Amino acid sequence: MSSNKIVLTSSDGESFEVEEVVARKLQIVGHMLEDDCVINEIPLQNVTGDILSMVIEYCKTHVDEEESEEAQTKLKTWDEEFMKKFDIKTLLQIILAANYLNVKGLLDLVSQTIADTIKDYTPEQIREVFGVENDYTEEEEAEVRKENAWAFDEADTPKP
Amino acid sequence: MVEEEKSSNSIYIVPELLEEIFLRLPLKSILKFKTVSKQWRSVLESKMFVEKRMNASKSGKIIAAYNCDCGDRPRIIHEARLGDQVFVYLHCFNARPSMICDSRPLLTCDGLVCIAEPDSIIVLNPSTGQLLRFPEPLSSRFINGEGSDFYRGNWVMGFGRDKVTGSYKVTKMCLLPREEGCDVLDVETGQWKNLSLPTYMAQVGRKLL
Repeated sequence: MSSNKIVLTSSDGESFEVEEVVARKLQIVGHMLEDDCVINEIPLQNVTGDILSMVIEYCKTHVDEEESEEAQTKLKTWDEEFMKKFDIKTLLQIILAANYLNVKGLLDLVSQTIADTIKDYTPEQIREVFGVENDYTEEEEAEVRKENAWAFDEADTPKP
Repeated sequence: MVEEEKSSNSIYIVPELLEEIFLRLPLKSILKFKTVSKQWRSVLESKMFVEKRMNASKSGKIIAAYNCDCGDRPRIIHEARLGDQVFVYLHCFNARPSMICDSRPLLTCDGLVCIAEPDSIIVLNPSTGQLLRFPEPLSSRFINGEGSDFYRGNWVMGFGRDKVTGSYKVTKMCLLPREEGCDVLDVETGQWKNLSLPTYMAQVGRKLL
């Protein structure tokens, strides 16, 4: 594999020079390169520099995915540590970027991290973070809540 | 970002990505988030999502029948966690002829449980504790009249999912040559439907019991 350098440019004009093998982890870039155009600079319209730098960091770490169990465990630990750095807002930016840039591994990782982060949120917190408008009337909401009362029951009482 | 509209405080996530996240949520959160908005609810309750989730979920639960003599009807009492395993306790009444000690069938499909009681049929979801009770079909009510326990062994039941409509159905039919045919209960609508058996089915097997 040639060690061609490719420059990725973010929506806010930040440029990142990366090895071709790293850039190919972004499938959107991979497809462009497969068309055999000689491209050295690729503009990525939908992602800002700070998010792109994180995606690149992920791709650099995952550039050679070894099969060995040891390597896999190491990567997994790295993934966990990597994800710990971000708050929910940043995680949502990353999922959008991973989807747009088409980085399958990162998309799976960040989806799971978001699910783990929001699972104990209240519906109110969810609405705020995801910008969802509550379109239920008070009665309707109470009704749905009642139907799913089990989910609002905080204590998992151990018995019998 | 292009997707970032609405208010500056929140980020708009396209439905496909929301689904990716939803698929990784535990059941409890999924039920809770049905109250977020009508749109979220419709995604979380859609047939496609439910099927995807069923195919994706790895960890099973163990259902434990808890035999008790308090006289109450079957119900879910609670969930308990022991290490990685989740147990769901099903409360049964041991003096009543139940699925544990005799031929009364306990049928399962996709993690749902169907229990036949002397005067009703119960379908329950051990994961959510949701329990639906249905009356017997008219034809067997006639037979099941007083002191008709004797006849009960002559009935077979089935429980499964209709691949066409996606709803769960209970079937009940008599082993004796009779004219009632086969009764089918649609769990979603709660309606019994009576179907006449094709003539070649003269003798129905007893295997189901």
